[in-house]
Amino acid sequence: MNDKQGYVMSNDLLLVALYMNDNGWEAANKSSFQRILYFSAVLSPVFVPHEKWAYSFSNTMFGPYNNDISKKLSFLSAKQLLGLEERHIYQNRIEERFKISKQGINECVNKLFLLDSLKSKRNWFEILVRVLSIYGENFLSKLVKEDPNIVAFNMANKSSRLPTDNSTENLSKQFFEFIKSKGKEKIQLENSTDKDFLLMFFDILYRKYKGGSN
Amino acid sequence: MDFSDHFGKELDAVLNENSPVSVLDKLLGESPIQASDLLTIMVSLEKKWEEFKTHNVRLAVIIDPQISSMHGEMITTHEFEKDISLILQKGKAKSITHYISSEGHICKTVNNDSNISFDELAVQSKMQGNVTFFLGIKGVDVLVRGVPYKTQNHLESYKDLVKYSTQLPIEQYQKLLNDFFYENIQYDINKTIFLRKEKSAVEWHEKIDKHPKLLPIKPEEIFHKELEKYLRGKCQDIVLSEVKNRHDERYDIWVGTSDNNVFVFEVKWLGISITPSGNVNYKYNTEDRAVEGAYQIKDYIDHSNNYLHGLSQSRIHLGVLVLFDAREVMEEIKYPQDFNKYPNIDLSQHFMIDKEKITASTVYKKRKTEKRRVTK
Repeated sequence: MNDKQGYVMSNDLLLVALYMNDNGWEAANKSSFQRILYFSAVLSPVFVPHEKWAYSFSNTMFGPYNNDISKKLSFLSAKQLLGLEERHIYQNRIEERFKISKQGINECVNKLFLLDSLKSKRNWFEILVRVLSIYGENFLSKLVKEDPNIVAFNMANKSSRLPTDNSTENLSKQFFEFIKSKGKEKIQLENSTDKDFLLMFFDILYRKYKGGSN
Repeated sequence: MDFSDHFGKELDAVLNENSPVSVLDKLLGESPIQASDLLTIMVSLEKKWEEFKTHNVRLAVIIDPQISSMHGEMITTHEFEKDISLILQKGKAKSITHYISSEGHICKTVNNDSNISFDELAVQSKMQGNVTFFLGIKGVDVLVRGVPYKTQNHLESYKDLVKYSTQLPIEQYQKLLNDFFYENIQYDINKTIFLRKEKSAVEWHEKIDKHPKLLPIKPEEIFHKELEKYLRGKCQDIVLSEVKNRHDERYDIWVGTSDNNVFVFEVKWLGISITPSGNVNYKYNTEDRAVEGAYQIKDYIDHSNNYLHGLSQSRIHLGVLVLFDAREVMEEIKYPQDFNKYPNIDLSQHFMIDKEKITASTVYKKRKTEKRRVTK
């Protein structure tokens, strides 16, 4: 990861933590940050089409993963921009939960909010975290599991880099566009916004999880 | 990926005239409030109010479309305990009304000196063309421009989220398995476990008479599918069925917790079943099959790295053998002593299936020495 990617990742994590806080999340573990940033990235061609996502994710049994995100969360905690709310040490790993600190909020308000270049991405994080807050942290893993990119990778037993760009390989983005065109065709949702379709997107993923794999 | 094929059922359920977004779009008409904003507030508010509704106080939350504010406290994170205390302990109000922006930020709060009623709010909502939430003992009612909104589809979509507290973590797997057994398997409530004459080919009737507890073709598929479906609906943690896909013909269920612990459930059955050619399969009518399942679990534990595909952050926390016993004479299984060294293997989840519910006295006479469920 180069400096620019690291800077972008730090900002993204802080903004996500800020909107989690605004939506009443007590704290979140590293996996939840990974999953939210993954959904942000795969749907970014729809919501922030000019943004080229600076970092990628590989596929694991527990969903999308980028080791740098994990390290960056620890770094932001060490800089006291995120507070470490809980820490459990297990046999082979450490489970930590983070929440944005006052210092982190100030960093967002006094620095990140002033950057015009971040405006559309900021709005996108705000929309996404708000919609995902309906589900909450415990349902994130279930949504991610049914994400079209993840499903396709699991079917092919692939753990390589997940597509997040505007190409047809990004099946999650393709599926979003598919829902949108079907919605407009089937129930004349002409006035509906992308936010409406985002709710439908997650509603479909959750129903799929609950209905089982068959 | 063919989306229509893979998500067909779910697409039909969501993309129809009764879907929450579609209904709300129509009800909102020209209102500047967006269906997605309203739905987000609605579900979050319902989730939040679940823990307070039993206090039997009444609150109103009104979205004022004229106000657009992205600042201030969100209604979805509001501490309702303070409102309740104000009404119940301090007597400073009979009810409270919060006015919020369409983004959900609280702009104004009014302490009412009389109790509010649903009908009164409906009239106000219609006259003023706003959206009003009535928070009461039954939960949250929503009025969109005077019209009550509550569709079956809405309930179906989000009820799990609102009722999240009723789902159990996988650590309580014993209760989950027990509930599953009594709700779906025992006494063959849904008449899908044992073969029945009314649903079977005539040439099988003789075999059903001879073996009243004859199971259908591939019973493992029924037990596995039903249990997996149950866990998806009732368990807070995630069913990782892709693990199963990597090992065809294995009937195990892997459940991952948010902190990356994995619970493995190996599903096995004992008894006799019919084969596709109409013969009776006696192969699994002995305890050997259960012991085989126990060794399968042991293999998962001993070689967890192979199964977890190099996930250094995960580990198999517990292996559980889920045994559905449909033998005529159901006895306790004796496992080799090897397993005494494995505190992370549970072999006690042995469920003995009776075909019919029979009276206690008959059971006593017939099987007085048997235990309903073996606990180890």
